[in-house]
Amino acid sequence: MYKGPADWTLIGEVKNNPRIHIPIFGNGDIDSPEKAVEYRERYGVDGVMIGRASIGHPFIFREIKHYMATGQQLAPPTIAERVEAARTHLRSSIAWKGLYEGVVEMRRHYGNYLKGLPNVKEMRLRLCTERDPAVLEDLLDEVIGNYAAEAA
Amino acid sequence: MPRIGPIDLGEFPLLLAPMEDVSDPPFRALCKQHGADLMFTEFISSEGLIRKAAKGMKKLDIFEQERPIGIQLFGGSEDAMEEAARIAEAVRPDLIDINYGCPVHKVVNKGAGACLLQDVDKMVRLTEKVVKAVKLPVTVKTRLGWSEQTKNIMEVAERLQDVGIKRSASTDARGHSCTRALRIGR
Repeated sequence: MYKGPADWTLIGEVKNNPRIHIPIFGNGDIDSPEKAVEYRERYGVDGVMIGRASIGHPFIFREIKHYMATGQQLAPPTIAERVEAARTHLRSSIAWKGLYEGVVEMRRHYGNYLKGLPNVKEMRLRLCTERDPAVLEDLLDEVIGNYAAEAA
Repeated sequence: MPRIGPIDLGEFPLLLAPMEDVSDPPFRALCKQHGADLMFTEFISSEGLIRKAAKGMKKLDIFEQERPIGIQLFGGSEDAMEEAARIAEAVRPDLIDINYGCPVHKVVNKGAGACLLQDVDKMVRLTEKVVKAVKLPVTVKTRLGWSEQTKNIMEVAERLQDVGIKRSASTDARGHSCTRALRIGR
């Protein structure tokens, strides 16, 4: 199996094959609104599929749409929005998977939601070792509080 | 404006990839909230589904507010895929998607996922069986080829279109369709 950067040229050739009339969607390496628009224009695909870039960052969909509609970058989500996304994710994980699995399987996601925040390591460790959902919610509040204080 | 069967996806739709251990209902809800136009379940083993294995059955959970949503199946047996497609159709997704892209050993060893790219005749037969088994639109997610030397996506796209798929989809250009969440973010 080959690795390395995605080869979109061939996707474009499939899309432009006059025999092909079904929709062709491109997938691979799309991690920004600029890239989505660039690939749309360059390869003519009918749409794009987003994978890794959405993990911990479901905002990517609205960011691409905003950029396509206006040509302007949408402001990145605030820290509070990112933490609230993690909180929503935690709550629905518990609701769908049950308390134990919901809490444990959420652990793989915190780092992605909090990516790039300074000194986040300790907080991530606390989130990933806590079992009580009420305490987890307090910890998420603490993240918001910490960074609000820092931004002020 | 791209359409898949009766599903109108609007201009330039953004799709959420089927990702194992990631694309579950809690995560999908967030992606939908933020604008994903078409989403897919995690991939589900056809062999597991026809034996009513709990893991696969749980992945059939889909919700009204997620529509349009596709259920993704994988497998190397034509009969198992046919039966699994019927089971998946019964929970009323908007489409059935076949995984022809996953390169991990546990999938490829069973003749499923990207392995089928090495046997396009079988891939065509399997796809046709699924298309005929269900009334829903059938789409595929595949990659450019099995290896750098055997990029056969053009042949694959034409032949699968001929047997009735509605989207030769998301031609994954590389080796990542099965990246696991735990390895992401490092």
